[in-house]
Amino acid sequence: MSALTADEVTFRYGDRVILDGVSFSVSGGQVVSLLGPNGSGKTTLLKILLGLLQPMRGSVTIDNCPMNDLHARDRARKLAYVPQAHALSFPYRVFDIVLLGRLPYLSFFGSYSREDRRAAQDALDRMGIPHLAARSYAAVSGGERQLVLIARAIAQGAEVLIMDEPVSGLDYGNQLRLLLEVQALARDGYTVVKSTHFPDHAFLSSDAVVLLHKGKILAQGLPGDVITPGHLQQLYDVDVSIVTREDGLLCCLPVRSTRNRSTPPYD
Amino acid sequence: MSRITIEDAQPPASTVMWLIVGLLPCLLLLSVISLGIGRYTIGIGELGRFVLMAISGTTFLEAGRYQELHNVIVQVRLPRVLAAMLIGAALSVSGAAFQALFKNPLVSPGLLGVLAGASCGAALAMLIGDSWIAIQASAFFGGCGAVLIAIGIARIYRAESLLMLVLGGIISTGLCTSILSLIKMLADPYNQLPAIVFWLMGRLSAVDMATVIPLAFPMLIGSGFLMVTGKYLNALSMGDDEATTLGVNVPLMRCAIILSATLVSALTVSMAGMIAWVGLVIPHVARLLVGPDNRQLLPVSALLGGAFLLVVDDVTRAAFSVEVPIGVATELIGIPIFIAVLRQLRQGWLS
Repeated sequence: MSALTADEVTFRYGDRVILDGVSFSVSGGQVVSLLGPNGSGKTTLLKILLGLLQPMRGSVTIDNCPMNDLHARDRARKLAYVPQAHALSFPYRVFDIVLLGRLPYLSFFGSYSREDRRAAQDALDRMGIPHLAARSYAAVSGGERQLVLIARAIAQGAEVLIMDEPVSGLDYGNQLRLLLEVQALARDGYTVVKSTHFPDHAFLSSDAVVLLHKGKILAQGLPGDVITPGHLQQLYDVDVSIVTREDGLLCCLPVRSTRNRSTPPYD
Repeated sequence: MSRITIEDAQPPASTVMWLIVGLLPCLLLLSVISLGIGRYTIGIGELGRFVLMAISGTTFLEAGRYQELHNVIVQVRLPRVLAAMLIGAALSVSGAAFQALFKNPLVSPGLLGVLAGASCGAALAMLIGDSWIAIQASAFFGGCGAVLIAIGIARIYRAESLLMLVLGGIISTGLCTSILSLIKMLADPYNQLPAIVFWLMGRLSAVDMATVIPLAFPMLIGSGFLMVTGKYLNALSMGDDEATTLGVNVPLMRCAIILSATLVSALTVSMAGMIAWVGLVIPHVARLLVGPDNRQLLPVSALLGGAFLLVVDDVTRAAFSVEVPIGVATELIGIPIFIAVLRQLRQGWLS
């Protein structure tokens, strides 16, 4: 199990401060959700965690090893990126996409070994999609594509998964199924950092939440402690009430307010 | 519960291996047949006896006839056949590599200006003198120069993005084309201008052994390098971020691939002038056969491209009383093939 720590991470584009002294840490087997409005710096933070961008100040460490000390291929064996399900220009087979997860283990002239193919097959099995192996990535659904990309991350052998809005573009059922998959991964010891636009999803599947507001951390901690009407009002400028279901699950519901409303209330 | 795994099923990789193994002898046979085709037709029996005699040294033909055939086959046709295969393979491999690198199936090897630059360089050398070596060298350096300009323009804006590279390519292509027009205007209209125009149409007839052998090595090495990068091209075609997180050094790998593709493409122009469409069409045909996985696509593209240009050259030599320039022939034959292939490919892009 791997732990990931961001320490005082600061990033600027020119004069514009994107991230300002962001610190948080995730321990092995935890799911952390990154919540924040558009432009709050979520994507930049994920890119810095992945080593795609260099912070101006601060550092990222994985298992107490500074990210910058790791060679790209070693980094790829520890940390995997799960992008949003995308469309590709070429209709690769699903299996070949998952096999790419083994690329960090290959030498320049090397080719995939039987063990590499076995690892890709195991990853497909783990995500419950072995039947997709020979299908074209272009021909499978958005939900399945997201599973394929997670399978690739698993084939990579990485214990930390960085997911960029994994449920975006999925239908309601696939969103919930994907959240269950993420929880199952965490139970197996994977460490997951995901950005999301849904506070409800953080209640459903996160061990911790980091609220990002204008490049700074507004609050972090347990979902129930951090996701409050006050914080959501600050983040999104909407009035939300938090409701507890009989089994203890929390969820957010919008408050019908008369504030700023030009049309008369429905009732 | 029985489950079907990719290993139980026929692994496509080995199917592709068979295709490659099968294509090689076909290409060899095709090249032997091509040696017999032309204005001076040589029968297949006589050709076979000649080849046997050349290899074993045993007398199958009388000495005078052997010498006669030796002149036609070894002096004239062999360099031409070798050049056709090399050029076809080099253009197809660099086209396939560029398509993956730029994540766009409509890209051809000339995207960053290498072909325009090489033509411009060759024309400039023709304007100044008529040294064959100078023309070839000038074509090569013109092609490389144009690509460096494209990369330089992308660098000015410190953008590592593909879009800036493509825009840089458009600019450098435009620059080279306008210089080429200027050279044409300045050229002597009776000797130099026709020479330049014919060069731009592509021609294999001027190729001799002294050209093919030395240029073959860098072309084979460059094409071989591109084939090795197939697995990295798969990652690069997913986008820079994903490739980086898969452990690929994206700027370095992209640079190496662009330089190799530029090297081999510029050398094709050095050898035989502008030959269009091969680099665009052949990768599409190969993709139909073996799918988009670049590990297999690049070698198959090379073999198909070599075979394609060989056959097109045979047609231009044999079918018409006037020899059609190879660049024109590849266009005339390549376009209908491309239209036919597009029909199949649309499904892959849209779904």
